[in-house]
Amino acid sequence: MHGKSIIEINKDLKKGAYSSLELVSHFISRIKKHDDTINSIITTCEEQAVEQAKKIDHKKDFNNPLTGIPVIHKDIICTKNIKTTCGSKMLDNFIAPYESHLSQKMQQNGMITIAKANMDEFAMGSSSENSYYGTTPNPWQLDYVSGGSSSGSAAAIAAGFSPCATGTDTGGSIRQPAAFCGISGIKPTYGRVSRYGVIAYASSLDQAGPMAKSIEDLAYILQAMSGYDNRDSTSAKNDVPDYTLQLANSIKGKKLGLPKEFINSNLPATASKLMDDFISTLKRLGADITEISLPHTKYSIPAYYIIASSECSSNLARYDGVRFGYRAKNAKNLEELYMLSRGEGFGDEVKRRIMLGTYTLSSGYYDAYYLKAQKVRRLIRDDYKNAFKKVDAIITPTTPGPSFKIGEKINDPINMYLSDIFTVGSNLAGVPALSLPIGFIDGLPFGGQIIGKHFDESSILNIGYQYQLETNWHKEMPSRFT
Amino acid sequence: MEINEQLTNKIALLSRLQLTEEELGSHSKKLADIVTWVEQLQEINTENIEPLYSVIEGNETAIREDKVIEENYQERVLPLSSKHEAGLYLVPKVIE
Repeated sequence: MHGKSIIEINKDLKKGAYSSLELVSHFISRIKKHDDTINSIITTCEEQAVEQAKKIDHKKDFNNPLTGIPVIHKDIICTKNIKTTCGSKMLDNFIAPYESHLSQKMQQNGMITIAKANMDEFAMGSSSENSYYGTTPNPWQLDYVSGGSSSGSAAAIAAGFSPCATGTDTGGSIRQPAAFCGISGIKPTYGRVSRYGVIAYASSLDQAGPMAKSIEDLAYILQAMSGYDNRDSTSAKNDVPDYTLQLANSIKGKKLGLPKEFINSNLPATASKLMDDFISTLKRLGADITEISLPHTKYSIPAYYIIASSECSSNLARYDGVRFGYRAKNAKNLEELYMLSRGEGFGDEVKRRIMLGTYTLSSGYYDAYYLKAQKVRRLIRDDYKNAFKKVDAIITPTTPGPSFKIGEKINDPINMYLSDIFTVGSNLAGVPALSLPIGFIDGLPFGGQIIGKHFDESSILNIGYQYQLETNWHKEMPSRFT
Repeated sequence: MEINEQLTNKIALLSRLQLTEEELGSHSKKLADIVTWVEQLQEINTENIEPLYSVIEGNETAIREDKVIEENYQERVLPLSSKHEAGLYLVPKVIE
């Protein structure tokens, strides 16, 4: 059952090859048997999943292809009556009293939540090494990282623990782990998927999206997650098109832009070779490749870190030790209760970003850092706007190289931040972007990125789907987990 | 201003984060490095450029009727606190 696509599973369920309960039990037993090696799961929701699967088997209505499909939610997604930790000691005891909009919509489509995935604490990190629950080793090579922050989601799909998962992406947190683990993932346009019930990190950049083995699967799940929600004031009222309808379209004549700043970025030769193959496949399919320029690319990472840290310092002020979450013992007064609960409840990277944000927002430094970064953000957004006057989509590598070793970058935050160089621009500009596997470098997966215009997820899914009809990278599985 | 341990201590206090001596040293050094690194933004001329606080700028944000849509969640929400009593959160004494 693992390794199959949503449509294949749906066909099996329809003809009764196995029941929804058998399907759910299969994946949960795989988690129990194999997760010791990759630590991708924080909580397994067996009881609730079994109950829901039984209901679905009773109804036997599989007309919606998502009915009965198991899903793993990143542990940043609030799931009612299920522990939601956000990868933090701060929320180790937090049982969400309500359901997020996106997981509720997925449930309404018949999807079954089977587990909650490990992640970098509060979605801050690119390697999973910031999780309170420990690192998620890469399923392809266990001494390498799974990426981050949606590390558990990506690793669990690669290991065949679920056909799909959710992730969130503030600066690359869906796409980078998808690339490192050899799966597909999309960060939708800002506003496409409601942020209600998604624990906040940097609210002007956060966006949730699906992760799965293939682009076709992403199209089905994104369909279910998207849409207006009056509980998120930045939720978009734009109609949600049928993402699956355009997949089969030819990409002949599509104009694809190749940013010269990304090509000249000292990619290792092995990665350049895979990019060349990626581009020639797209050319063979009839796409028209032109060079474009995103001149402010270099500044996207520093601008991102100022904006994200500023927003996080404000968002994370809610963790006060009083109303929910970790509460320090032995505090003598209220001030100490705040200081100790936060000091003991947050990990290093979260503290560092809260402090950086507090500094960049403080009187006297606001103009030089926060305001400056927001001005640079406009220039970056305009770069994308101008590029999209000439092309339908932009093609880049997802990351500057494949996964790196556990421990390699953890003491060098700036070097760690730079692994997001190709992904943060889409968050700052609010445009949709997906990552898909385009080959291997020394046994580690490598990802290509397709960036689209605002609310034009259809085009990038179409291009990715057509590429996957021509290639088999997305069907590969690490031998340890076949 | 250069980020040193004294300034880091002040930022930690403003952020309500209790740091150990060891943490203070390591955060101070890394914060100083990061602030120096983000200084590169000053290379860009942003004269007459308006800040972009949100990418939905210009698009209408959804407005809804001012109607109560939520019920009273007290029974569900209060137990999330490790110290509560009689419908109230308990904190250390604030008035001497």
